[in-house]
Amino acid sequence: MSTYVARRVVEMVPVLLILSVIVFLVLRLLPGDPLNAFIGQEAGVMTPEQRAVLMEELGLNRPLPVQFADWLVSLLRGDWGKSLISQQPVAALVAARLNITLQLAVVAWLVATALAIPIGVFSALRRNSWLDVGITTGALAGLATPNFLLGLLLIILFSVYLKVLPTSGFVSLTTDPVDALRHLAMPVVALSTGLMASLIRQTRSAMLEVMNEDYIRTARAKGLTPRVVIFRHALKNALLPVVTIAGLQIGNLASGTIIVETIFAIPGMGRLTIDAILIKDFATVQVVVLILALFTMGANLAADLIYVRLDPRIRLR
Amino acid sequence: MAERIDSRRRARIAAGGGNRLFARNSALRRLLRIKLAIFGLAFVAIVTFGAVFAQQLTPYEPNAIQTFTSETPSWSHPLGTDQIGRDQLSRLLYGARASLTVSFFAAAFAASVGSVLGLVSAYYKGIVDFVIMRTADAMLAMPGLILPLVLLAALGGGISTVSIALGISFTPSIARLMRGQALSQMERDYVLAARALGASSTRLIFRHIAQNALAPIIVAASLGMSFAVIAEAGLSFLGVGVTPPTATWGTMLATGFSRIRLTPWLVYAPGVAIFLLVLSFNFLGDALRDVLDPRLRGVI
Repeated sequence: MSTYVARRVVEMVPVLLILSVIVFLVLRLLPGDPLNAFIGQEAGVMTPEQRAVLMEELGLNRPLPVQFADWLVSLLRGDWGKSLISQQPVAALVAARLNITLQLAVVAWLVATALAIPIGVFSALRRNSWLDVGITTGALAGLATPNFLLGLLLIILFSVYLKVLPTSGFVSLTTDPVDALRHLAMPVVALSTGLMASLIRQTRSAMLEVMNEDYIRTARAKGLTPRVVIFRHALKNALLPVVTIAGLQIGNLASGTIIVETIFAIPGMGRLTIDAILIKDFATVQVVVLILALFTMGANLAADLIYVRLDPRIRLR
Repeated sequence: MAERIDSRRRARIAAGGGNRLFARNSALRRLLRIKLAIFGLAFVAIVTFGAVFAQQLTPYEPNAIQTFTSETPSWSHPLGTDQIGRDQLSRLLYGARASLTVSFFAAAFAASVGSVLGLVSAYYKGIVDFVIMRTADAMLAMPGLILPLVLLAALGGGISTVSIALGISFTPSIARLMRGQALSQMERDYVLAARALGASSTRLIFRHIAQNALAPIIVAASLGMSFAVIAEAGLSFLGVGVTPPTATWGTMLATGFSRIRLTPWLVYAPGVAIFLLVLSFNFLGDALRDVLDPRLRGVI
């Protein structure tokens, strides 16, 4: 087990390295003045002497590979650079926001998984009933509703017309749980609906498939109660693909926070990412993208490990 | 259902029909037997018609200011006007152009570039495979919208750059899918036979392997179109996609959002349009998968 994890972690290294090269190059090969990327539009009004000094100071006149190596070395040393706009260390910016986004994403993920699995199982067991038709139609609709559209509709309903929930802001679960939930309610629904819809569909079809297997018939023939057949025999097997997908989707939740945090004015990582991209604060963008990628790869690894845990037939190599 | 299709396919192959993909009539006929696919095709046709004939269908320019303030729906403006007085229906029709163009070109870009990369990767193996697939992994490690966002920060907004950015970010999953398909095809006897007959690498890759591995790519590309509709609207909503004043459904949502307390109904028309177009592409993708290769259920 530990050798497997170690190997997977080692495999992440070239991927992260290539990723950082891609991000570094995309941001450096911007058309126009390279100084724009570092000090914004003011670069245009500087004298040639000032430019030369600044280029030298920022190391921009060195070859790209040298610049990249420098950036990478300081990143590994823990010096993540300074935001070009706010002049704060990027590490501090990230630290302040990571917690907020994690709370949002984790709650959304838990809500989606906790609701989707029982709903999917129920739908499969009541196949072709009007409830099943309702659930599958709802899941199709959920998949086709982008999170930003759902967010807007929720604001219109609960904040504009019913005036029961706040439209924006964030309160930490640790400071005031009740107020935190009031603030989290709409963002969580907006963020989790797509994931929930896809998990419901996966659970339902996995469950239908498993219920047709011979060992289910055998279990029934042995005279086991339906409850035991469903929970002990069917669900355990049906959950295998669902777990993998739920794990893989965590990365998409992270990307979903970009839009959802923008709509609900939540000061998290997603908001930091989009703000940094919009104002071309590349020191921040590079670090944030790497953190999000690391997060996604970690989630994929966790999904694989849980899968192995659930399915003794799979052997780690 | 699966059994029926299989027995038909066998019959067709026995009758000398050969390649299932290019027996287009029968695939199309089977597609049209799926009700949801008809709904999807019909709605895409309506949107395409509206987009192509936007100029003839509406008396207003999408960016021309018609009223002093935002007006509720009336006979002259069936969907009302937005906060600077532009006709909502005209903007909706012109906005369809952005959604359709972006989704089509992004999917086409990803399907073609991704397929070639996947094939090359599977065929040449070794260092070529390593570089292509690790790059794909790196791009896939960036969740959802991050890669298009970064690319757009470099390229700048606009319909063509959004298409390219979304195409690029969708390419690695197509490449990976094609690689897997090609690897399994390469084990088949017909590849050995073709090679024994002296077929060149290029001919082997593009003429033999690619054709037989194409079905899942078509399905993935059609599902990619619904991803592109959502992504374009999302990027434009965030202000990095297609730039104002060009009308797109995403910018219309953003306009509605900025005045959500005063004129919440401005969100409805573009919202419903996005929802229905995504739903249609999803229906079409699912139906194509069932028709072309039911075994892909649960894979794509």
